[in-house]
Amino acid sequence: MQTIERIKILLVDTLGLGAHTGTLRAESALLGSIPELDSVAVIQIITELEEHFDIQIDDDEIDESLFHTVGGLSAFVEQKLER
Amino acid sequence: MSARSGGLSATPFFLQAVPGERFCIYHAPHPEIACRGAFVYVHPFADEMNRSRRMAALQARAFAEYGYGVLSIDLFGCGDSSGETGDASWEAWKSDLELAVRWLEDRLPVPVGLWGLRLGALLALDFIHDNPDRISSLIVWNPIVSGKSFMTQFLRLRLGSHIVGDGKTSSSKATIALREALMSRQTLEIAGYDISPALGAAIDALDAATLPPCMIPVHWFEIVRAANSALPATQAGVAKEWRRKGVQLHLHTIPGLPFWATPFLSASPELISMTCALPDAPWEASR
Repeated sequence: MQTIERIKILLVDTLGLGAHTGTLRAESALLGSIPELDSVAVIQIITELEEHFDIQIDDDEIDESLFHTVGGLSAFVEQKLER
Repeated sequence: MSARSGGLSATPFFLQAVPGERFCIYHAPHPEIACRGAFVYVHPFADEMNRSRRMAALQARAFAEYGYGVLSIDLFGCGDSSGETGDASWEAWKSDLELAVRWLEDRLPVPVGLWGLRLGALLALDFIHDNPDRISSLIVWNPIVSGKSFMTQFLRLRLGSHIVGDGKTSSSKATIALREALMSRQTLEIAGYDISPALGAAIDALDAATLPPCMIPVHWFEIVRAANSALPATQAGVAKEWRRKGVQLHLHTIPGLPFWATPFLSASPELISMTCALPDAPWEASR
């Protein structure tokens, strides 16, 4: 499965977006558009990404630009996976 | 064993402790069947405690219907008990567990076990380590196995608030800096909870691999994301180490959502039915 598809599933599961299944696109906005994405959820998603993709995300890489769009988050993870 | 739902009551009360009092809820075992055992429920920390309240209540009720007595205690500085989280200490929490275990022992003619979720499971392990002959059995739900990783997660919540807030992450907010601040005797406020240097240091130093609950049956339930997911690597390492040290470990993975963390209400009926069903097996023979 493509990285972006795995991330969509992870977002839907973690945030409880069952009703949005299938509506998330690469350009879908995250922070500011999805009310479920609060501070706890942001960190939970970071943790889930680390466990799910077996990557390490450093504190200084965590900022709000990661959570602009689904596609942006996916690109970040892909870049991590290539390293 | 099927028992009628309804009719069983949960009794809330305050237990005298030092200092102050602890809020407790007692689920008495079903009066029409023989009492099978008793458990003290050890809750997780901070927001996870709130988010898991419903599952804890559902499990306690289910246990009661199966003939188990359950005492839930809000630890010092948590929930509706005396004190603030900033004044809480790991040692005080273990004293609270001692109090809760004694209360159940005085009430029911059966051995008392512990049932802990997340950080509550780590607290239960440490308690058993200190009091190896005290507890008859252990149930852990998604235990925190590394205090250090837990603290990193928790300190990261500050980063989370920052991201959702003004979007700028200054280096002083990094978890390394936060950990240093905590270790240099500063109380930190994270996600609305104060955490004292002593509590932070105590949690940071704990490693479940060094706390094998030998001599008692242990049921470890791990909620995992997908149907055939294995235990995450760190947890698998601890399980292996425990078995090497002779722990009677029964591992169960259950696909589902992490109900202690989801921003919406979620529950796992499967976890409840499996947890209720298992104690029947090797449990009572242990003592």
